[in-house]
Amino acid sequence: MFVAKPMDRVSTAIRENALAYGLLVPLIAFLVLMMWYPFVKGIWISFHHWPFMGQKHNWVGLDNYLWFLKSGNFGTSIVATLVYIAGTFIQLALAVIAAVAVDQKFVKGKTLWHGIYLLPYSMPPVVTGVIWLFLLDPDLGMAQHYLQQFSILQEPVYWMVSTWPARLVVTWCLSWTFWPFMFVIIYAALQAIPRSHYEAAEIYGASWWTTTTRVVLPQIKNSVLIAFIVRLSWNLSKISQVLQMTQGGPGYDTSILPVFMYREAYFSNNFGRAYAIGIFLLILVMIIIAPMVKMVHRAFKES
Amino acid sequence: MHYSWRLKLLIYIVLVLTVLTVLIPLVYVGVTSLKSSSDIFRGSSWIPRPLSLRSWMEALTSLNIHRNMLNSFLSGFGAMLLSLIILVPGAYVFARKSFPGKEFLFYMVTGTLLFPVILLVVPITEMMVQVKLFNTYAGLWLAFQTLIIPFGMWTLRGYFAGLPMDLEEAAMVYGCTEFQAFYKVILPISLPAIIAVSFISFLVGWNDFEFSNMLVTTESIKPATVALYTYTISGEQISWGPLMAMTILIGLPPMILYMLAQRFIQKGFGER
Amino acid sequence: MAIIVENLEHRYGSFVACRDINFQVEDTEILVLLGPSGCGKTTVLRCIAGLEKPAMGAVHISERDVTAMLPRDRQIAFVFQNIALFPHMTIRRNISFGLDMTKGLSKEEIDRRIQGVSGVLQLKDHLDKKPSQLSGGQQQRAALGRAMVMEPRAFLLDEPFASLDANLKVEMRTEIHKLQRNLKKAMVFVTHDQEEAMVLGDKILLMKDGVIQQAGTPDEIYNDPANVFVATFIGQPNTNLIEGSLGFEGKRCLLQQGRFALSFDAAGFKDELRGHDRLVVGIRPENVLINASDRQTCTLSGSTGVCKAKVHLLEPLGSRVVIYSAIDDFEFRSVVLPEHARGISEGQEVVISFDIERAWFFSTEGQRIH
Repeated sequence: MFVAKPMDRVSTAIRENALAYGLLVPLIAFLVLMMWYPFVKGIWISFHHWPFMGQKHNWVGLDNYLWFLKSGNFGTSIVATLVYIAGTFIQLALAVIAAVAVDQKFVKGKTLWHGIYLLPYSMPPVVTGVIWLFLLDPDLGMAQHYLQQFSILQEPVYWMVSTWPARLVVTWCLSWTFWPFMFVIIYAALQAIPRSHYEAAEIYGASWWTTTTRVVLPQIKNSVLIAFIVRLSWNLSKISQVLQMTQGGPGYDTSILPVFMYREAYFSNNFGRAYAIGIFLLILVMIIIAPMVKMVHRAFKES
Repeated sequence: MHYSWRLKLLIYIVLVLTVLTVLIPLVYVGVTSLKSSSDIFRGSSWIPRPLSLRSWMEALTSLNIHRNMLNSFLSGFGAMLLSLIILVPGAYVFARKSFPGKEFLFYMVTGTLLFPVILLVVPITEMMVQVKLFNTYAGLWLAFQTLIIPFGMWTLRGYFAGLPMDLEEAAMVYGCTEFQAFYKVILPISLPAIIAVSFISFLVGWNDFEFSNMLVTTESIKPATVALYTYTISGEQISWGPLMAMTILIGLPPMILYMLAQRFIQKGFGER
Repeated sequence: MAIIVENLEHRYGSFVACRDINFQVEDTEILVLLGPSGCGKTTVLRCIAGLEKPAMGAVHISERDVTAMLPRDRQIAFVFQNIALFPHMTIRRNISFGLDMTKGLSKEEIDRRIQGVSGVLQLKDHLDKKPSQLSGGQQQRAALGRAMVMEPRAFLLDEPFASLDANLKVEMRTEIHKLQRNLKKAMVFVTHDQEEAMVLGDKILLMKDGVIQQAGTPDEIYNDPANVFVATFIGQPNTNLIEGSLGFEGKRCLLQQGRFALSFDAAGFKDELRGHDRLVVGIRPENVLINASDRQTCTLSGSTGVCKAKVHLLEPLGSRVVIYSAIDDFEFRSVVLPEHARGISEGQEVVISFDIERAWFFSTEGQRIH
């Protein structure tokens, strides 16, 4: 009995799937060179004292990680990050509400609404950062001017130097810019629901609210989860606005983890510490999205 | 579905409020760019008194903005081309072929979507220095792929998966090899979707800050986003007028391209 | 012999899609692969085409062993259920697609073939349109055209008319039939529609769960089923099945279930019946007689010996009437001419008898005994 040897099986598999593997070469090259290797190299860097463009790299083991944990700013950074993350939830709520609104049958000009809502997301975040830097300026900005006019504010808020206003400003700017991402995905999911579902609900006498909460929203649950998970991860990579508006301050109050990391890398030239902070970011992201990923995975397995 | 007038009103209020939240800042920026500098300092008003093009003149002539925008364009364009080479065959294979190792690879690719890419800024910068791609367009093109590929794969794979299977089989029955079926039949049909994805890829490059800022220090390569950022934190007194004009200059092209891309997306994806 | 299939077996992972498939198709005939969804008929067709690789077995086309060959080298034409015309090409380019891929054909030859085919299929006016501008029937004809211009050794069709409406289906069936006769090329046709199979097939292969249940002419399949599945799959309305325990009463046999007893003369096949204590009798609706006083094959214990069934539904189908009646747990379907159904109404009791000569006897496992 001739039994194929393992190497034969591999070469047969390669031959039979030659086209597939061939077409995958660029993708695999990208994954290895630009994702896996850097990730691993970063870990290597994090165990060293690694000044950028420096000559000497000394092994320091876990010192970089411990430094961050022991620095007084660890807690502040985490809090700021959590506020940022909370902002993502608010973006989600707005995205769902707006998507449901545009999706209603009687709304005309859906493409126009959709197009306008997309505008903030289409611009470079640096640009939207500048816009809000101007609009929220305590002295010249339109926003504070009107807030004072309507007696919501008594006097201009110099948010650049106070902790919580700074955090709110930064989270606001992030939300204004990035909420359309989830909107687009959720809206597409809503559009995919067949008309017959709405008609069936109508025939069985369901009110608008019942239809929306019992028929429509459950069907988009997966899209909502996926959109949120991706957006959360991406939001935590967008730091230009924070850097522009507060530079991570006052102190470190708005230095969300990625900003802290960037400050160490760019301003302090300390790559080792920067990547160590980045690992904390990775862990935080994984903790938060793990249950959601599980939910999505289970839903896919069921279908 | 019966909509009470109250419900309709509520929906429209939601829609209009959202539009206002989006548009009012943008309109105000536009208006400000047409104000004179003293007008700006005077405080908030919606009508420039007098109407002044000074801000625009300054923006267009100073600060090297043309060079920066050209750099943005080049970095985005190259990234787009490179991404197509990776995305189009990759998404096609994932969507329509099965092969040993596919599930593993699928999880890897999906993982990149969830990964906080900013983490890679540090090691990639170090890598670019080592291979002497620091301060080059090529370095940016490669780095941008980390931002483009995950979403591009997600989108394009979904598109390819939606095409009927018989098309390739028909092509193969009537004389094509697998590869010929791909480029003679699947590619031409997919053109709108591929164009849409290219627009998005380009824009990822144009809009980027995190990688561009780390990987570029020389003026000759510096993209517009970095230039804008540098100016705002430079600490000098900011001329808001010209700054507003610059934001429009830098922000308007991607807005337009995004709109166009959406049109292609409707064509490309809506067809199924 | 145009197509020979030997010992074909195909698996999806551990699921066996088809096995022990053996058959031959001549140039002059249409072979129909018939069966319910999931029976494996499409898998067999795709193996012949080369779109699937069988786990075991061989396929020969025109004396060549093509089992290892790619689809494009087999010189066959495949017509898809979903039509699969290339949406971005004109009809002309769609039809000439395969020819354009072939080396050694002059442009004149290609044009000649296109002209010929589009004339036969009435597509001459549509050659420069895109598929989306054509109706379903025209699209399917264009797909046929794409197959025909290749002058293949055989045609393979996968439920090509499934998406067409009823009248169009009948029209296309006739066209295909005429076409095949003219072209004198083997055709293998997959369908789940038994009417289509009976009309088109010179030979029918009825499949279930991946295995051939019976191969034969329409006449054989209809009148001589090999098992219960074949008997009930073919023919509308379905064959009646009567199950009961077998007993003997002198020279005659008796099939009993509850009050009902069916008596018949087993003169020729008593031996075959030995060893079975339960039997299933299959009898077509046209052989279940209503109010035919000269037959008496069944009795109902407790009554005066005559079988009376209660009618609960009448279906007038124009040229005939279907009568649904019942005795206790048994339901009978019967087909009569309209004039014989006059005077019969729902709720009435009628006399039921059976033309036993035309009945089939199956074991309880479904195999045909006689």
